[in-house]
Amino acid sequence: MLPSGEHSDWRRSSWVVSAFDGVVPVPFELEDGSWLFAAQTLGVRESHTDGQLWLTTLSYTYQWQSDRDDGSWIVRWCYQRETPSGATKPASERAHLHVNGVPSAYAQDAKHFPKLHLPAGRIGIEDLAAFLVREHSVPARSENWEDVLEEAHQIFANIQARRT
Amino acid sequence: MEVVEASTEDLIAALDDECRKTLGLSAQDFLELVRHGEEPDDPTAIRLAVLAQAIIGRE
Repeated sequence: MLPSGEHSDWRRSSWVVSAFDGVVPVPFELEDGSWLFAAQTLGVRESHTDGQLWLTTLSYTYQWQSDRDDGSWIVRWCYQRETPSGATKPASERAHLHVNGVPSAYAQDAKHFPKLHLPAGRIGIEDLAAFLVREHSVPARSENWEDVLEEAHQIFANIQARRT
Repeated sequence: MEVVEASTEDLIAALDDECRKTLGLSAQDFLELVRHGEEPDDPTAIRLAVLAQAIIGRE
């Protein structure tokens, strides 16, 4: 975890959670030999509904890739809660995903397919882990991985429910 | 969870090194792009933008 500013006002502090090489965020190798770059920036924000302070995800980038090289990326999920000026984005504009490929049926003169911002909702790292295990047979490191992910998912859902 | 202890100067130096090696940009040029909210296409730039955001957060 890399602190991104320490302020007396908690709402101005943030922290980057990732794998690091020194101070540089880097991908890490999965059990099947593919790689994952996963970086979240966390910060404290005030709830519009009850005025309480919450630790929340300000942004994330999850990038599944075939090897250590960034250019080997396959799918990338992006989330940005706020604009550069700090305004909260509408929920529909916060998340998208990119796919590093071009379907054969895709029009050749259209925007390059990997640059398309494919609509997506905010996903948790648990969702990504479940995807990699279920769909790509990445070996799980614990036998009860589904219970662990479900418990984490439920905690997140409960927090979200309290905020609305 | 391990905390990375580093000064802002250390972060800028590391960003500058990585940016020059992979993108042909200085850290200051790259920070300007990120400040303006430009989403990079290059996958390495996307990764380094995380470090840039951490530096901007310290300003």
